[in-house]
Amino acid sequence: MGNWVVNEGLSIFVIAALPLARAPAACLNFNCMLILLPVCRNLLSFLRGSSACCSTRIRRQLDRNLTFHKMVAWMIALHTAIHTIAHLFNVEWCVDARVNNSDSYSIALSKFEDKPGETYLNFAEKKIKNPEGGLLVAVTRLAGITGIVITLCLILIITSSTKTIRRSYFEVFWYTHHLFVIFFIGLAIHGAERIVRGQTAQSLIQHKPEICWKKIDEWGKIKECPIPQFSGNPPMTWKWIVGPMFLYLCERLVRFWRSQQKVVITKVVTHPFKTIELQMKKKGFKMEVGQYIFVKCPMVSRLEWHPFTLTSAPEEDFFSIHIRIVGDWTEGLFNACGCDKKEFQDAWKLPKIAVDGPFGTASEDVFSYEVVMLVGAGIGVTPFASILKSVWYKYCNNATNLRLRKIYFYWLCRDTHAFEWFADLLQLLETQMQERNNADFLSYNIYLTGWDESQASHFAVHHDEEKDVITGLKQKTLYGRPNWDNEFKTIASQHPNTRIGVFLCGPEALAETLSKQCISNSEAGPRGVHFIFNKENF
Amino acid sequence: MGPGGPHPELQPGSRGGKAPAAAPESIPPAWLGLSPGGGAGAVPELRTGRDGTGRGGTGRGRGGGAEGERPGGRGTRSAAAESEPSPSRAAAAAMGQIEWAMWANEQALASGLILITGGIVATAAQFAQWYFGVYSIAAGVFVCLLEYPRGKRRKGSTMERCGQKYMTKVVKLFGPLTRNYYVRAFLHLGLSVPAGFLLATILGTACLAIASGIYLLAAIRGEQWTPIEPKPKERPQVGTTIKQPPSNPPPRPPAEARKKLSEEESAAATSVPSGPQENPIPVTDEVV
Repeated sequence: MGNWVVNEGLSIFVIAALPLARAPAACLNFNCMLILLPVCRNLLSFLRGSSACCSTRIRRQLDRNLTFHKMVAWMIALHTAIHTIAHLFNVEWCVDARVNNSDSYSIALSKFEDKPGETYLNFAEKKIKNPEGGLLVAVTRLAGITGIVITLCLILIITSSTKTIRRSYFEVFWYTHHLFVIFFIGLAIHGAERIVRGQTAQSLIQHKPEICWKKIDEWGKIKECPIPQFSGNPPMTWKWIVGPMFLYLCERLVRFWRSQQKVVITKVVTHPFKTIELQMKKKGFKMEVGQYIFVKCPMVSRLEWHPFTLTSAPEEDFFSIHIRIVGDWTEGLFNACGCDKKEFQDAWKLPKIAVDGPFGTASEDVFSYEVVMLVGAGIGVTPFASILKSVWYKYCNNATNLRLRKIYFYWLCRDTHAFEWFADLLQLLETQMQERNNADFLSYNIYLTGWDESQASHFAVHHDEEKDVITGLKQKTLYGRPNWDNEFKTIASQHPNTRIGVFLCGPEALAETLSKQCISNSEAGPRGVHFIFNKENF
Repeated sequence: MGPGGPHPELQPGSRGGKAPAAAPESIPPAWLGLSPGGGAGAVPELRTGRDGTGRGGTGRGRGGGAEGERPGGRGTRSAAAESEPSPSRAAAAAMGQIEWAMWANEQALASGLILITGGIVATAAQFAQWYFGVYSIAAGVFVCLLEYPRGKRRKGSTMERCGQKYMTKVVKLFGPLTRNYYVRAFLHLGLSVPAGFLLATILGTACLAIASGIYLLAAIRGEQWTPIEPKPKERPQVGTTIKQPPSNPPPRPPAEARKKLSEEESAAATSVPSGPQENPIPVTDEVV
């Protein structure tokens, strides 16, 4: 503890603790700057859509914005912990020095106060010993108060952001996350009192610590050791965070403005098995395939926004979403749209809707490949509805310009309930393809992964019928999980020397499987078949 | 949004030669009562049968957009802070039923860890009155052990924490003491107080006190801790699906017919190789 590093006043007697607090503080500046940027959804969408900026591969990294946000958050937590622990040591030792419970050098340095001819070094003002002294510093100084408050906010944010809470009780997550406002404000003023002090540059010239530390009693009396002067560093954090805070503020304003635009429900369709389809129109709404929107229905809840994948194609003059009724909000929407009533609903009775978006994800890249594999698991098939429709329109409009030549579509489902509205779409496409003698354009495989014995016997009996008993499609439903290795190898052999895009919307485990398959079935050289994996983030 | 009248999108070929939807199943569509001939903006080519065949809609002009003039339209919408969405895409999770105990559990677990960390710092560095640090470590360990097993949610399935079944057994032993959240709330409040005497552990105090408050809220709403029990694996009993073995021999033609058949068979066997099995007695397939 008696060791010292040259010029920092405090570090003269609190050795490693001050640099150990300063270092994570610097890291925190950087991380707190970064954390706001990945959640500026509109900004990211804009960057992703503007081809001017960078290549597609780089822009695709923007899809992983939430992962980045979480990583930075963990870094903030780690650095906060180190910073706090280091300052615990600082406070303890400073208070000790104030109450003369330390080495003489430290005590001498602590004697300075803010009066004419002097500036203080030790921020512990009152002569109260530890632990009360430390506690007093923490609750009376600005740095202490802001430190405790923002650390508490951080802890609350983290505990409400765990996967369990996020997936099950989203409101808790969302509202608690807004504590970040307090966090950033507290962070900006955390160092405003400038209590971490060091010797001024001017004083360092006159009073050299390496000479004068031995002559404590003669300070101010001999020429070579005048009274040392100290000052605090100006707070730097605000310079780091003010930019991203402004960007985020703009982001929220943009979201709000977009949500104020008028949205009209043009049609509501009820599908079997508790699914409804809303068709809407909004002025100036432009979408790409596979994008999603956030929807708010003030009649149901004034504050809740829920994301839904768009199931219509850009070529249509409306946009639509399919909503499964599973919770309070969707049930409220169901009732508000009058779906529980049998008679015709007047147009003006339909509720007002606010829409934010559309926001883009990986599906937009589907058309840049010649061959694609689309894999949707369960409800994850929804973005592909949009893609298939759009492919259909493009094919009908101008088949020669379409780069896409072949689609392999895999739909994995646990039970038959999920089939209904989408099966209709597939059936339609199947019929249309046949009429145009191009049945090979789309090859689809539906896998029923949750079959049981009674279903199996049913299927076995109807095996020979022309249309599939579950979906009514000509292509038979397959049971169990697909053998991906086989699938990839077959496709690779049928399309040598092509880049094949693989698009998945489904669970993590499947993403890992497919990712590995893509890598192992791609050839090493530039020529040869390459599978490129794209995963939807929801 | 088209007004009433002729709707170009319903005519074939209006969209560059696409054929209208081949009307699939004649299942009566369960769509919202939409009168035929309306239809703002529906594209029939991809309107499938089940969902209403693309006819109708709010074809009275402006559709649902006239809310501005309608009562309860604009006025109720406040410019409040927007809320972010629910996690799942085409379905909203059950938002209304929040189980506070789940969050209280996460918070208490975090508080336990913070208490342990603060306690280690205070003890190892031998700060003044460092024995409070020792207490903090002990309290932190206790809280972590108590809170590690996650309780079962009332609705839906619960993800277990890794290896929590051992602690579940111990926590279950205390019966109402651990089941009741009032007890937990006051216990945590009490545990947090002594740690408040040291600066190093005061953060743990604050966090645990907050957890205690959330547990109190959970208790007021009548939540309880129920252990997650492993479900007994249902092995498909091969034996049970097989009914009793047949007690009668298979039906056979009477003795004379059998004799005749065997003569024919031996004659046939020498001449023609056996093709598909010809059943001597017609067998009906009784599978459904």
